Amino acid sequence: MKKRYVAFFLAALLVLGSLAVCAFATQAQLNYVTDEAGLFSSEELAKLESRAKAISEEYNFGVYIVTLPDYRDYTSASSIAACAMELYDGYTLGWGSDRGGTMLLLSMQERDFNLDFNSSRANGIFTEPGRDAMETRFIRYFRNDDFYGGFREYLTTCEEYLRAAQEGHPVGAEESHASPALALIPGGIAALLVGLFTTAPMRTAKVQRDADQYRNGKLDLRRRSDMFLHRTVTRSPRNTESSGSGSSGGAHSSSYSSGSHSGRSGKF
Amino acid sequence: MANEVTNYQCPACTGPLHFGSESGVLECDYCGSRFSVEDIDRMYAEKNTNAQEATEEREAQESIREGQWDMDSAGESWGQEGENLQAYNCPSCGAELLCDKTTAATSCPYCGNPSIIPGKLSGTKKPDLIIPFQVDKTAAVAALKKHYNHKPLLPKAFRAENHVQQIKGVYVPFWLFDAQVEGDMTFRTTRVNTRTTPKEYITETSHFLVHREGTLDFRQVPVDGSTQMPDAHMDAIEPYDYADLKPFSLSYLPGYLADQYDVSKEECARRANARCTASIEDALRDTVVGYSSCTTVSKNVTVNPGRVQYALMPVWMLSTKWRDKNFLFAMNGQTGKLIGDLPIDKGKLTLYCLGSFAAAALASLLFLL
Repeated sequence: MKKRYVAFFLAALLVLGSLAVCAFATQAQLNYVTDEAGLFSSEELAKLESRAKAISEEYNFGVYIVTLPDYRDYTSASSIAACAMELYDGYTLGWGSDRGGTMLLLSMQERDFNLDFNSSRANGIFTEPGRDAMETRFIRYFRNDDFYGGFREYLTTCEEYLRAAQEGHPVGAEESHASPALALIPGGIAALLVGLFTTAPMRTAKVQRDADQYRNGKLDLRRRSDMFLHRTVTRSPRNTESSGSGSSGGAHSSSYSSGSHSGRSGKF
Repeated sequence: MANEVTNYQCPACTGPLHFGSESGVLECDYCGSRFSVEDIDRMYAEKNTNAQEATEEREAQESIREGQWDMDSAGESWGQEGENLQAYNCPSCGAELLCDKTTAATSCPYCGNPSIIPGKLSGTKKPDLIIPFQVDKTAAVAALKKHYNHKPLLPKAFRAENHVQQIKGVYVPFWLFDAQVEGDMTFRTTRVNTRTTPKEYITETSHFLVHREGTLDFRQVPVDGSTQMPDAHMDAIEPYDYADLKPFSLSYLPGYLADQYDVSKEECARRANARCTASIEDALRDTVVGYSSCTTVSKNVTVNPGRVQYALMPVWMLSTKWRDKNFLFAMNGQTGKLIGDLPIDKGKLTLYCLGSFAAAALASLLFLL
């Protein structure tokens, strides 16, 4: 009888354990840091994984890092942005009912990067100016092949942005607060124009400056010459590389938006 | 000392004649007779000759003996003030009146008869030309009321409380200048061409030295010769239609005030020169086309003076008073153009400016957000 109870207890544990594994599988089937390109040492990987997990749990917002040798080997998607979205959705990444989260993906073959955000919550936390600043901060590490430093900076930036949003001051939202000051300019111009147009009819006594009304015939132009002196040429370089609609800060990226996803991709 | 005064009397009933701005002839208010300016001029020339002969004859016959009053204690000397005044006797009612030294025609405030003061016309130049009044007093008052319309900044109280204090039809002395003006100007200009290559923006700026030389004729540029008339008002009611200019005759004056010039044609010529100079500079500058920028380097303008004429132009002067401040309006007595500065309701102006500021700022804010 005693053996039966022990067997039942073990069976129950096994069932509960299986259920827990299934539940985890639906929450996230990819690590917070997935280094397929082999850019990190095991110690670096552990540090990044631990920090990404801590941030995700604290702010209920998934923060992911993925490195691939060549994204084309992992997906049939035509772009790294499409690959990032496919990975995010395919592995059901993200936290909360809206699966809010962000993923920084590197593809080493052609030195591509993609910064993806999912859910409208992410858009509120990571504003366009904020993304510009964020990109500027991590891209300089990648350009120097300091991948650990770049991803560490990425996680630091994510934490700063999430904290700032939690405190009610999303990074980059300050710029929209500056807009009232800009609105004063057209306001001032409008007030000036209204003042001029309404007071002009009140002041009609004016001294005449010219005698055009008393011209007798047309101007008799006796001499007319237009002599070319010299030519000056000014050249300024075109910034043809920044094609992104919201990109700035010197990063080489273009923005995209698709369904609940938005982000930017480019070269480093 | 009283001066000789003339008023034109109707040959039919001896009532006073005045020049009708609409009819263009001298009209009698009493019997309705009308006489052309030429007829009255001829009639009065004969009458003056006869009167002169009769006066000389009577003076030779009369001898009057009168006692002496102590006149020295009565009143004080006008002093310097008197230099700007003159006295005259109204030929209709005999009232002795004072008027400004430059007034050549006016009307008697007692009997209303229009009078000319030829005593003050002698010694100054006789006008060559005159444009008779073509707009009457009623039209002037109506034009002033119309002038108040569509002025959102005009204080409501001004419209309600303000009354025309004085309205007078004045023949204002003008000097009309003919001139040929030569201009010689040099400009520095640039023509900018911008093109784009795959790698850079290229801006090519071509620099030119442009020279223009030309002449322009001006006819009858008017400059008012009266210090009593503000230049800004007289300039603003221009232009007059010179097709209506007529040879001067005293017969156009009855019923209106007429000022003599007190600014010489030499002084007025400076203003005419300045206006002609501005015109030729603008005309030469307008021929410089096809450039991105144009800066004047040098200019040399010569005014070759031509004929100068002295003319009287019809002006209705209307003055109003509101809150102890005088407002002067002038209306072209020929074309009816009326001008004059009006008071501004500062509260309304502030409200309008703040309203437009708020609306534009709000719209911009919505756009930016």
